[in-house]
Amino acid sequence: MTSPTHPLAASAEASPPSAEEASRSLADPTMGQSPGRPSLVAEAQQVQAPVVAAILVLRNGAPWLPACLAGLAAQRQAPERLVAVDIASTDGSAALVSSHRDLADAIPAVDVVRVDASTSFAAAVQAGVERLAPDAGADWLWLLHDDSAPEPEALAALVGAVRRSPSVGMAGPKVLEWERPRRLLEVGHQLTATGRRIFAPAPGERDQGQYDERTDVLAVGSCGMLVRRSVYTELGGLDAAYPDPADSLDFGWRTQLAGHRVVVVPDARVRHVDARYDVARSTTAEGAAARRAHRSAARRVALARCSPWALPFLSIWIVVSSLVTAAALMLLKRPAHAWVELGDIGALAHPISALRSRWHFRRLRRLRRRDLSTVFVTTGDSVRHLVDKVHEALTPDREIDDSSVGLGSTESGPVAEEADNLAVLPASLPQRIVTNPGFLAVVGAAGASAYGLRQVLRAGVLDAEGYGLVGGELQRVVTGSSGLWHTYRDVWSGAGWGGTTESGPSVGVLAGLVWLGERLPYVADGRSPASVVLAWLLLLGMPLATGTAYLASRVLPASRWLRGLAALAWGTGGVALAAVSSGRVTVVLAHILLPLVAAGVVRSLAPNATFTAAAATGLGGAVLAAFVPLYLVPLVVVAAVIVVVGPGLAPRVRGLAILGIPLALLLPWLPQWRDPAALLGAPGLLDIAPAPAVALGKVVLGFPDGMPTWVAFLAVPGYVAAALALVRRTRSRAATVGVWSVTVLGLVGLGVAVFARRIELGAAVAGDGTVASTTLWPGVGAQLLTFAVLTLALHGSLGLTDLVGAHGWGWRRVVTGLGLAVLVGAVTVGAAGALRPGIDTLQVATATTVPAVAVEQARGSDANRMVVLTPSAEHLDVEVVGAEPASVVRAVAPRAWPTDPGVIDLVHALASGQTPAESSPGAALADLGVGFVSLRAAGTDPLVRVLDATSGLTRLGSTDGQILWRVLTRASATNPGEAVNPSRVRLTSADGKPISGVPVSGPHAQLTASLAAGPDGRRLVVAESRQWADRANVTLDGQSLTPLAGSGPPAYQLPATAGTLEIALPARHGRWYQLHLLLVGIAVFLAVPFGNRRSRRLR
Amino acid sequence: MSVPWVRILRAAGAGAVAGGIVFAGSAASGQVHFGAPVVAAAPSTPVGIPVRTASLVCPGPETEGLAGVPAVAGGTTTVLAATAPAAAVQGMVTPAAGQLSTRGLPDGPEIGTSTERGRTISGTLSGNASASITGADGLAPAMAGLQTWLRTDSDDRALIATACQVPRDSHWLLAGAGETTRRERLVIANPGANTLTVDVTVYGRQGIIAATSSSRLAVPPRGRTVVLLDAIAPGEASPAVHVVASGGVVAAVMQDSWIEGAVGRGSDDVASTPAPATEHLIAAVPVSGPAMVRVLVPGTVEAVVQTRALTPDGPISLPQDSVVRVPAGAVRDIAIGSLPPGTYAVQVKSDQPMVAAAMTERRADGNGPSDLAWAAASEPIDGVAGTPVPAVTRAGLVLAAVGADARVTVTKVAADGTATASDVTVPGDSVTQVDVTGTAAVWLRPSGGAVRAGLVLELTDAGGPLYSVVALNPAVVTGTDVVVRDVRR
Repeated sequence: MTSPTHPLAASAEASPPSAEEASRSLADPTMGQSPGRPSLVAEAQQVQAPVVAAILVLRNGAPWLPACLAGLAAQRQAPERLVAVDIASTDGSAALVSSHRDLADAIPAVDVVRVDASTSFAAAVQAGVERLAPDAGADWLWLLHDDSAPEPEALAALVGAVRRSPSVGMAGPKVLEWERPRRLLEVGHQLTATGRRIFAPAPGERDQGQYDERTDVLAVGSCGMLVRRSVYTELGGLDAAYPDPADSLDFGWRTQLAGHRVVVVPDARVRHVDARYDVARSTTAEGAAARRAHRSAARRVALARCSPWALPFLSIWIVVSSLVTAAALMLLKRPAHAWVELGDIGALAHPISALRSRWHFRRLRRLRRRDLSTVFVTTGDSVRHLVDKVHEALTPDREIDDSSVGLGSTESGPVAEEADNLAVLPASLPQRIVTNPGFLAVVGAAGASAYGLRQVLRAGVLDAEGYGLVGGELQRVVTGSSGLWHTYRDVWSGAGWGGTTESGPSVGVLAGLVWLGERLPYVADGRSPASVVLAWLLLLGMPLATGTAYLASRVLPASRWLRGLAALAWGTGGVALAAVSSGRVTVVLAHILLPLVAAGVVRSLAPNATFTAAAATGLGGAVLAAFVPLYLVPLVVVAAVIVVVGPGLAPRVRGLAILGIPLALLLPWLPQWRDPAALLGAPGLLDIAPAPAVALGKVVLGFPDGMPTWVAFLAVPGYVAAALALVRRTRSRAATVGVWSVTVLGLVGLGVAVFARRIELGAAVAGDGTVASTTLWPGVGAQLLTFAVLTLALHGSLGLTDLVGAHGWGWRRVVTGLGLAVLVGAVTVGAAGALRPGIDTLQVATATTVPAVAVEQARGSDANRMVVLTPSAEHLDVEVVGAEPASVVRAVAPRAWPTDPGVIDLVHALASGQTPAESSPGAALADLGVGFVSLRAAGTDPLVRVLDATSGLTRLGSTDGQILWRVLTRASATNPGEAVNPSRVRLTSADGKPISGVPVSGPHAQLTASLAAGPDGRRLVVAESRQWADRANVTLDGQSLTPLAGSGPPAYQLPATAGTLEIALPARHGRWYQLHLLLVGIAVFLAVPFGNRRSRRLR
Repeated sequence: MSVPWVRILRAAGAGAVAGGIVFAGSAASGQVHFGAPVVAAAPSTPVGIPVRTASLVCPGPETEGLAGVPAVAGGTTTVLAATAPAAAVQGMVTPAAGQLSTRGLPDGPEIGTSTERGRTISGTLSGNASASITGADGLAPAMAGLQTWLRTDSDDRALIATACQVPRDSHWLLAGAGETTRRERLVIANPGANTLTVDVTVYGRQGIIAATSSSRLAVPPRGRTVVLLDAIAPGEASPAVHVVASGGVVAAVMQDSWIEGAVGRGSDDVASTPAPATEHLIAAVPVSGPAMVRVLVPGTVEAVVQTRALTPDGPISLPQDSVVRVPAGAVRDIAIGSLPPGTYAVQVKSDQPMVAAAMTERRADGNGPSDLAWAAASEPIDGVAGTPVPAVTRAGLVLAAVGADARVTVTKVAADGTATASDVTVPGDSVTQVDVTGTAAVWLRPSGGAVRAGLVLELTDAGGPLYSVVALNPAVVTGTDVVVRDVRR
């Protein structure tokens, strides 16, 4: 036990700053009004320097304690006493204090008090205060943590501040980071009146003196807090009910309410290890938990200190604002932040402690609560702070962070090339672009594609308002994104009479792509945006595939030039060429996606990969499998292996995203994909018999549709390179696994390619209308095989650059160089040679094949159809064409089509001279919703005479190879002056005479219309197949209607009264449809990065 | 340096598996069937089946309906319609109920109906109207119609007969001449419900006569349009007309009427010849005075046209012009009046497609009234053909065969419906005439060889000769049962 230093001595030491302050105050005419500046009167009362007792709380802080003690010892104005309260430290903290020589020199009286481990910080401080004898004369208590280090001026500055103003009951220092003392942790507590902490400064913010103007605050942290002993005693000290640092917040708030000022003194600087933010003192999880607890405690303090009548409102506000903010943070993909935000609600879970706090404080309040309003953060400041934070989160990471220097971008997936070239090539931007191998490869592929498609380019495929391409597997569609979407969604869809056959998930994706394409100028104004967008996708397929392959190959640390070469081989190789030339849009899109998905899978295994990138890979995998369902199998297998034996928890979770997202998104189709015919025979993957015979050797070399032998043989060097890659030493175990996986993938692809023609998948309709059997297209397997070969070859090139670049002329160097030269030659010559003949399977579709007038009426509210007659020597082909699109690329035909409601019989009767004399074929066609009859034959065909002589038809004219008749309008049965156009849906009298058409607004007669009252016995006739009626919901004023029995188009009995008619087609997968859309939304949400990476971290 | 056996084995293993797959793929045969089996559609051959509806169009009174030109009054237009008796179509048509009806167009009165096969119905037609003969169901196959006009007094006197036609979109009509008092009326009837436009191209001796604005005509729905050829091509000495309808089908005839001074030279209708071909046969050419064959070569190449006459005893050469050159696009009249009087068939052959018709005149004596008759070439009869026969003094069915002999069953139908069949053999390259006077209708059905037929109608009248010639074309019996394929995508 040491005696306190004499007050006079302290006074003498303290006087110089006081004098200095006084002179400054005298020079300042505004002095006395500013709360931060002591008045002369106060100065006079504070002539005697206060006696300070430091209370240091120890809790296993040995790593930092020496610095702390050194700081104490170095104080320019040392405290008179030091009481160290040791909360059962096991690391010898107490001994460090007792044996510190400098400390003993600086502070005469050093005490160590030991308390047990369950003691809280507040209780420990109280124990320290109790150790000070009541008569010891210590006027001020200086609280310190064992992981804080006061700078030499700290106490002097604090004491100076409190001496200047007797109204100050508490003062706190500027708290700085331990390791980086130029960065701020805290300059007083900043709180809104509702108890929301505002982090200003943000922890870690650079100290540029920007907060040094701050004086009066609501509270200061307990670390370095200087509190008047009388205030401490009066208020009962810190409240152990609140965890650190909310206890100090509460203490400060009470101090304010009791009529004492709380100030922060920026000149007093204390370094501090903050457990909440410092990984040295806690794990991230603990940090988050502490942060949550702190926020919640701050709210508890606010609830305990607000006025009683505001309590319910504040409670409600806390709940509502937390929920709203958390929801907003979830939308911004900040789940950890949202979880912290939700922690605020936990403040309401402590009503007892709040009441107890109120009870203890019931007599001590001297100020009205509203007098404190100036020390709270105002709403405006709070909003400004929030806006700043959002802005900061959305700004790309430009700041060169200490930790990320030299690592380049940590985002996987497609990233601008500048990102990785920034440090490598200090050349100008145009120079960098022109010398970029990826750019050159894309340009090469674009040139090859344009050269190969020169015929259609000349024929006007670029016309945004044209009709796109037709030929090969690409079927003629005249529609837009909405038509494709209905094909995807509606339970009854398809061309002509339609049907229940679905064309799989690819239509939904294509509808989305077409929708995006329709955002381009002019496209949406055209008659068939879908075919235009798909044609453009085919045009861009080869350069896009080259570009994605180049970007994706970044996961292999190969030379950029070899990556460009491999990308060019991928983008202009046999599979890409065959897919483009046969119009297989789905395969072309798969060709673009496959490298990205594969790279994403590899990337997800990297330690610095992100979940967002993994989710994007999962989404890409889902889209890939939507186009080529077969790819779901390897994707699921690889992802499942990652989930089971992945290197660590994070890669496994990412593997789960890659596994789960495709499965979840494709869930509605998984049951039907158990049928191999459905899994293999997706649209665009068919070869219709008789397929051209292609030598197996060419298929194996990656030319599924054949090619001159010399072109096919240009692929051989790539295969040799891949084989050599299998012999070369792999650099790591992971690389070995990768090589094996790719080899197995390639062998699977080889098997599929070799056996594809032997897999019969059902029937499909050929271009001339004949039904023929189909087999799997070997190109799917060849695609996988080509991918594996190129990947292996690229992998085998790792380290080759060193070999080539080595000094001297070793034989290895020569052989390698020659090999590379052969590869380069083979790829470039192959790209040019394969396209030499030009792609002539594709043709530009023109308007003459679908008369514009028929298209307009089919799209209008009449929605009538056109019957296309194509006579040949053996038979007369009859096709019913409406506005509804067929499958975009050839798909397997259903096992049974819905019944024709009468067009075939009618045409047969007409063509064979069998029309009953009293009938009117034109009226019968109008009853079937047929507005036009088109004959694809010469003018001398006998059918021309038949159709010309047919009542109810009038010839509109003829264009190239086609003669068109219009079905005449008929007079309305109820209002003879009104003409009833042939329409999809109409009202008829009881005996079948037309009354009026009902305007149709969607595919396959979907509509909502208000019907006026009409004659008794009237009927609703819908020109659709009978089976359509089983699927469609036809309701009048919500009452479901059932079709009348009979043949021909479905008819419904209607009452004479007015009502609202609705015809709707349910979604194909029923309730799944909504859930599926939600899942897609979630997947996209997960896959799209939002804000910068820095802002996602918890601080 | 050690040899990396493990890695070499790895590569070799992968290569071996790949080789195995390729070998298995090339060695394997057969297919795995995952989808529904595809049943190939059975090859189908179109077959003929009896038509269930058929119609013929008769042009109606030819002189009616011309603006500014008064109609010729005093004559009677009669429409006759008949179906072949069951005996004549045995084996081709299964007897079934049906109806034959004749009505004026557009909404004219019903002229007559019958529900009995083999019956002839008749009625008169007046005004600017044509008539349609409709056969329904059982009576649709094998029906025929004939329109006659008769006036025995004044200088308009003539007997005109023309077969009612299956409407079509192209007609070749060869009739008329250049005399100033000779009128050619073109009658175009549209049985359809839509207004049609027809393009009329007139050919003459010098080729196509430049089209004028009036060469495009509108024909109202279920109505007719009559024009004077002189309005289109005035003064052409040898007109030939090509009528092309767009947007529908029409029936068309051209009437040639001639009054020379105050002397009636007669009138007759000509119906369409078959489409241009290198051989045509005009089956009935009753020569007993001025006569000629008119040939039009519509193509762009000059034709060498060879003409000969077929007699009951075989073919004979024309006295002159048996071989002539006809410039491309031009009309040429070949006089055959120097042939001995008699009924011939005229065969015209050419190295280029052409169309042909013949005109004959009968003059009584001196400068008395006469009559003329136009006969167009006709199609060979492969199935059945027939015509109602009006009440005339003498009616002769002329049968002509080219090449091989033809055997024909001729069925005469009496007014009460009784049918009498007789077999006739027509020797090759000759004609045979069968007297059908007094019958209500006559039907013929070849059982071997190709035969063409014409009907010569004569009326004895104190005022002078009255006669007409009608070429018979095959009747519509069957339609092709077209195999209709439902194409879905």
